Amino acid sequence: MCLFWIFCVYQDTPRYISISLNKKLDYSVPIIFVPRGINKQTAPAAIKPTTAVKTEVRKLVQKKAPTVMVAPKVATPIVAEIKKPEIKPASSSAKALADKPIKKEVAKVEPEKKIPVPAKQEVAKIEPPTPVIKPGPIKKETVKAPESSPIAPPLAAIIPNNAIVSDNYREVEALRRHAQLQNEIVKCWKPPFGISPECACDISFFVSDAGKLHDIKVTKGSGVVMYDISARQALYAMNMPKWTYGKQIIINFKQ
Amino acid sequence: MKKIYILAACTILFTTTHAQNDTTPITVSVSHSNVQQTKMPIAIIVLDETNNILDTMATIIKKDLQFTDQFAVSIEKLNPQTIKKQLPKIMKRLAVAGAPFALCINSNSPSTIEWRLYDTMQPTMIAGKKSQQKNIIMRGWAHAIADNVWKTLTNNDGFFSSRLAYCKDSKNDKGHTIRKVYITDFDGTNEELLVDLPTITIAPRWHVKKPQLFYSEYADTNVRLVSISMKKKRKTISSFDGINMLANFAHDGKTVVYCSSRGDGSCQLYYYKNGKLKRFTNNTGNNVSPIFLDDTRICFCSDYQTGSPQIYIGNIETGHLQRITQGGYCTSPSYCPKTDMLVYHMMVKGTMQLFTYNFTTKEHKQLTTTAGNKHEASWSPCGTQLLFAQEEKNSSRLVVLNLLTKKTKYLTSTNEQCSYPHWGPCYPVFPVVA
Repeated sequence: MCLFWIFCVYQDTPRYISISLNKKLDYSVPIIFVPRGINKQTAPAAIKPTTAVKTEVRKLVQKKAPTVMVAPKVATPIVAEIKKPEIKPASSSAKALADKPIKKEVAKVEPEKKIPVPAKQEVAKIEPPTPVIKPGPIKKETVKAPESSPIAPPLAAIIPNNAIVSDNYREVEALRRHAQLQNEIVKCWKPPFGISPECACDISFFVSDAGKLHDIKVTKGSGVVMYDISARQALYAMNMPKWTYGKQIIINFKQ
Repeated sequence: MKKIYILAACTILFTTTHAQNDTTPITVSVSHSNVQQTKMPIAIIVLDETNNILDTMATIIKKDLQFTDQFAVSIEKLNPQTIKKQLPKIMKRLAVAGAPFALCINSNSPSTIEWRLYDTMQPTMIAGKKSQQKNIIMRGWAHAIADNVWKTLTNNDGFFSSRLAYCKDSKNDKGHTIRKVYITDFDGTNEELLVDLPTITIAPRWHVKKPQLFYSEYADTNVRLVSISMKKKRKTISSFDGINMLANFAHDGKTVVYCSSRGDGSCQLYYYKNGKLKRFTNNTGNNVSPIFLDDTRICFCSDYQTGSPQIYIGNIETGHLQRITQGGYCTSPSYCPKTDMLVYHMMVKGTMQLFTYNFTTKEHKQLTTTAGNKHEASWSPCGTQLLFAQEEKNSSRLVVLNLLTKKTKYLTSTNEQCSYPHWGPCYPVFPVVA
C-alpha cells in the first residue's frame, strides 16, 4: 500500500490541479499543508516557525506563564500576559506541569537573544500583582496547558491568520503551483488603461519540454482586441514554471 | 499475489493518468487587480516618407489616440523604395520592443488613402480600409482613421470626427459684453466662429443627423430659437414671446422638443412631431433642458413640485411624469444612448457637481468633487467622455472628463469665458464652417 500511496502522490494529474474559475483565492498568502492525521493544535516539526513566533515563545518563557495557548497576535496583550503568572488560585500541580517545559524552551530559545526585545522591561512589568483576575476561567487555561506539547509551539500560533490551510496534498500542491504561475503573470502582464472591469479572455497554449510556448490561441475573446493582445503579450514575456513543461494550459485573464 | 495485484493496478492507473496529461488542459484563473496598467504602445508607420500629407495625417492620428490616455504612440517613416525589405524587419523589431500594434498608412493618389492595422507579434492584419474621396478635409480624414482604429482596438465608437459647439464672451466696440457661438474639434483645437452677431447668442445644440446647430439669440422682444448651417445660413425656428431655447432632436432627426415661456411667466416644454406643435408640460413651474431618451420619453428639469429644480422623465404619449431625483438642486440632464446613462448637475455644499444616473441599475453616482461649479455637461458620441463648463475664479473653462481613466483635460484657457458646451455626433462628413 505504501507503494501505491507514493504513486498517487507522484501522479499529480492536471485533472486534480485545476481550480474553479470562480474561486477567488488570494495567492499572495502562505499556503500550508497540514497532514490529516495531525492535530492542528499541536505543532509539526516540519513547519519552520517564523521569527515572530520565536520571539513570542521567548516572551512566554520570560513570563513564566502556563504558556502556549496564547494567540499569535501578542503584540498588544501585554496586560493579559502579565495577568496570567499572577494566578494564585491555580493548582500547584498545574503550575508544576507548566513550569517544567519552560526550562526546556529557555534552553532552545537562547540563540534567539539577538532579537532586540527589552526582556528586562517585560519582566518588570510582569511582577506587579493584578488582583482583579477572576479565578474561574484561568483554571481552565492551566488545565489545558499540559494537553499540548510543551516543546513545540502550537500550529495555531505558527499559521498566519490569512494562510490557506489544507490537509489535501493535491490541493496544496495545486495552489502553490497556481500561485507560482500567478506571480509570474503579474510580473509580466500590463493590461491597458480604460478597459471595462467586466473584460475577461481565455488564452490556451502548449508549453514544450524546453519551456517554449506553442499554439497560443485566444479561445474566448473579451471583445476588446487590445485587452486580448495585452494578455497574450504577457505570455510571451514570462518564464513558464517547470511544472508546466509539456502541458496544455488555459489561462483566464480577468479583472 | 497481493503485491502483484497492487503493481498491476498501479500500472493501469499510471497509463490512464498519462493519457489524461495529454488531453486535459490545466486551467488557471488570473485576476489583474494587482497588476500595473499601462498605455498600449502603437506605432504609426508612414509608408512614404516623402508624402507630406501622410506625415501630417500621422501626426493628427497620433494626437487623437494620445488624447484618450490609453496609447503610447510613435511614428516611423519609411522610404517607399525599400518598404518590402524594411517592413518585416520593423514589425519584428516592434514585436520585440513590446509594441503589439502597427498602423500603416499609405496614399497612392491625392484622393486615395489606405490604412492597415497589424498585430506585430503574429504578424497579421487586424483591420484595414482603402477609401477614395474628393474635396475632403485632410484633418477629417485622419480623424476618421483614428475613429476606426480606436473602434477596432477598444470596441468603443470613435469620437475624433465629432466637433464641439460652445459660447464665448467678448466685448464689442462700446465695451458691452456679447456672446458668440464657436465650434472646435473634440480637443479644443481648430476653433471656428459660427455665429457672429452683435448680440448675445446662447445654448447651441447640434442636430443629430446633419451638421446644423440650433441656438438662441437675444432679440428686442424675446429670445428666439434659430438654426444655422455650416454655411452660416440662419433660419428662425421659434419666436414666441419670452424665451425659446434648448432644442433637442429625437433619434429620427424629425421630432424636436424645446422650452418656451410664450410670455406666460413660466417656461413649458413643446414638441414638434409630424408637422404639429404640441405642449407637453402644463404646470406652474419652470420646465427646461428637455432631451429625448427615445421616441416617446423626454427627460427634463422642472421645479413645479418642490420649488427647487429636479430631474423628471415624461412620456409624450401618456403624459405620465416620473421624478428620478429626490431633493437637492438638480439641473441640465444629458443622456447617452450607448451607455443608457444620464449625467446631470446637483449642488453639493454650495458647488454644482456632476452626477450620473444609470437607467439599468437606477443608481445615482457622484462623478466630481473638485471646486468650481460645473455646468451643461454633454456626452461624447461614444459615451466615454464628458464635456462641461467649469467656473474658476474669474473664468469659465471647457473641460473634458475621461470616464475610462478618470482624468480631466482643459480645452480652453483661463482668460476666456466659455459656456454652454455641446458635443456633437460623428457626421458622415466632417463639419467645418464654410
